[in-house]
Amino acid sequence: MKPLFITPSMVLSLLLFTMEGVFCFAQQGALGMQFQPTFNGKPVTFDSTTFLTASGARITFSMLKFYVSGITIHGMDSPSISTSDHVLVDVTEPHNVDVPSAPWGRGQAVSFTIGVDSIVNEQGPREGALDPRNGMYWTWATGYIFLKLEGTLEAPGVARRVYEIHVGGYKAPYQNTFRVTLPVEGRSWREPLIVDVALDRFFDAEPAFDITKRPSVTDARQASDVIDRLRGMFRVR
Amino acid sequence: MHGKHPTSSTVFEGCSVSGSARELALALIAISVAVIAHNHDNTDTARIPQPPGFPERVYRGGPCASDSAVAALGAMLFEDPILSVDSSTSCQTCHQPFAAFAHIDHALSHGVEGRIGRRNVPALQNLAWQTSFMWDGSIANLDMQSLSPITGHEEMSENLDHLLAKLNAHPTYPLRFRSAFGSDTITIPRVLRALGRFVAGLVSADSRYDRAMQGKDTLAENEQRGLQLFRRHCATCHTEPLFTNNGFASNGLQPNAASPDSGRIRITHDERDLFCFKVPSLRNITRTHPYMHDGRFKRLRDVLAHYSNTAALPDHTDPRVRAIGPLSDMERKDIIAFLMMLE
Ligand code: HEC
Ligand code: HEC
Repeated sequence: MKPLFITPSMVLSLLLFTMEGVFCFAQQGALGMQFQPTFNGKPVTFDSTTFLTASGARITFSMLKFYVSGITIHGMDSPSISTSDHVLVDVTEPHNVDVPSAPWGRGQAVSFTIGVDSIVNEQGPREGALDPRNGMYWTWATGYIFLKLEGTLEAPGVARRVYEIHVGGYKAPYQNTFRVTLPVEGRSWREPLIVDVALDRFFDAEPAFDITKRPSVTDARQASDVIDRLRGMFRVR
Repeated sequence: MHGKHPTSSTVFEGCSVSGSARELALALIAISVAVIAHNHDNTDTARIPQPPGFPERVYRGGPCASDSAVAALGAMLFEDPILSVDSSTSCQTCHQPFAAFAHIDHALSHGVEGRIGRRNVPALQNLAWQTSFMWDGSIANLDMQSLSPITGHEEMSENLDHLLAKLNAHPTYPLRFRSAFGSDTITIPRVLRALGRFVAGLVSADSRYDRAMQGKDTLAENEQRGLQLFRRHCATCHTEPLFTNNGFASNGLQPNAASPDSGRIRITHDERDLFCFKVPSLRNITRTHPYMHDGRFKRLRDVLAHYSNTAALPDHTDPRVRAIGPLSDMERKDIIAFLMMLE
């Protein structure tokens, strides 16, 4: 089925049309995903609640944004369905971002990628979630920032008042996109799937991450050190 | 839609028996979307002439209403200081048309508020055949390149919003965007693509060298000798007809003590790339002085003296530069005579 002649506007309308189709399906009893930030099981209110990390820093959160793509539902007897588009999840938005996905009832696991793959990274600019205007792009070197975690910081004897964890990097040896797989067996698919982003795991998973010593992660090499901590944050309730 | 499936009576957790049919349909949709999207990304919309002997063009443009209108819009943006925070600096401030879009006599670039940049401004030419950009190859896509000069810093969403507001309020830009892209919505991707398309169209392929290669001009004796010497000593890196192999190397410069620049290693984190820089094209070389990433050499004579000075080369020097060996005065002059044909 090879299209013979496609103008950009035809492509756009086709895309819109099919996207709409996907949404329709998704609505009826299907999976949506919501990301909810927590710290030691307590909900996180951005810019206000203060938390204490294991290494003794008092922190708040001001930003948590990340790219999600390739959402796949792994089932028993049929192929998994994957959405290929990148969604920029901004966890600070009051109405949590729903990630549209497929209608489904027998999933055993759901998986998704955090980050932007090398092909998209090296392609030209795109509208929408990948628009560089969203501030998720390193301009000194080609590449999207996959995840931004920022906030304030206070600890005895530490002058620094803010921290910023920016993760990106799509080229070896610092290829930092990562995949998260979560068990979802026996869930009700009438409700959106709530994915906890357990921020305490980032700071306190062994060995604890001393944010006062590394308050800023801003390139691919530094980011490669924190990928496992980030992956560990995602959990289903 | 649910009610339209009288046969699917077993509904379990929102998923009916016809679920797998639906899944299949969805998968098919997903595949066709992927096929179309793929197709769409690969469309070569850029009408850039293919000079004889050039390899296949890398730059391919993107969806637009009119390629020539995109290029014209890019040209307008390129010379418009509206792109800088204080409306003082345009692309052209640094990339001067009469200097093959480099900055004559400036070793390091000058930006807004007279800030001095880190590196020498390169010529902009034949970028459509180039595989990476900047002296360290840090940028992989020509359309994305402009983000770097426009924002200057990595945190920039604020400035880009400001830029969009300025462009939207402008008397002619909305119209220009309409003729280029089919609607007057001004977006950052469109701004970037217009600039990218304009610079991609800066082609250098009609120098005396090119005409001589096509048999339309002849080389003088010294130019002929220069060509032979060039092919022996320089062309593994400065490969014809682009006069670059799109690679990275250390050509034996001593690290700059005043402004340390470790080069490509910053991007690859690979020890072998320490002090490596992009092999620049040598087209229009007589117009793009000063030379090298930090503009340390004012004249071509100085460059040839450097390549000839094999005794004093630092450890990280590429063996192909080491192999050049001392060049006589006559040989240096012949090479320069040949390089002057590239204008
Ligand atoms: C302040 C001076 C300055 C301004 C303004 C400026 N540039 Fe540059 N440009 C440079 C310098 C310096 C480099 C090399 C930077 C490096 O290698 O790190 C460069 C590199 C480039 C390159 C890569 C060339 C190559 O061969 O790799 C392109 C393309 C380019 N500039 C286009 C633009 C465009 C488009 C604009 C306007 C949006 C612009 N520049 C504005 C100084 C400037
Ligand atoms: C091993 C690869 C290699 C070889 C061989 C080589 N060059 Fe280069 N050349 C480079 C690199 C890399 C640079 C940029 C270095 C920098 O700026 O740090 C460069 C820069 C230059 C420049 C400055 C260009 C500009 O725009 O600033 C000139 C001129 C030049 N080379 C001429 C020559 C000549 C003539 C020869 C032969 C005698 C030669 N090169 C051999 C790699 C090479």
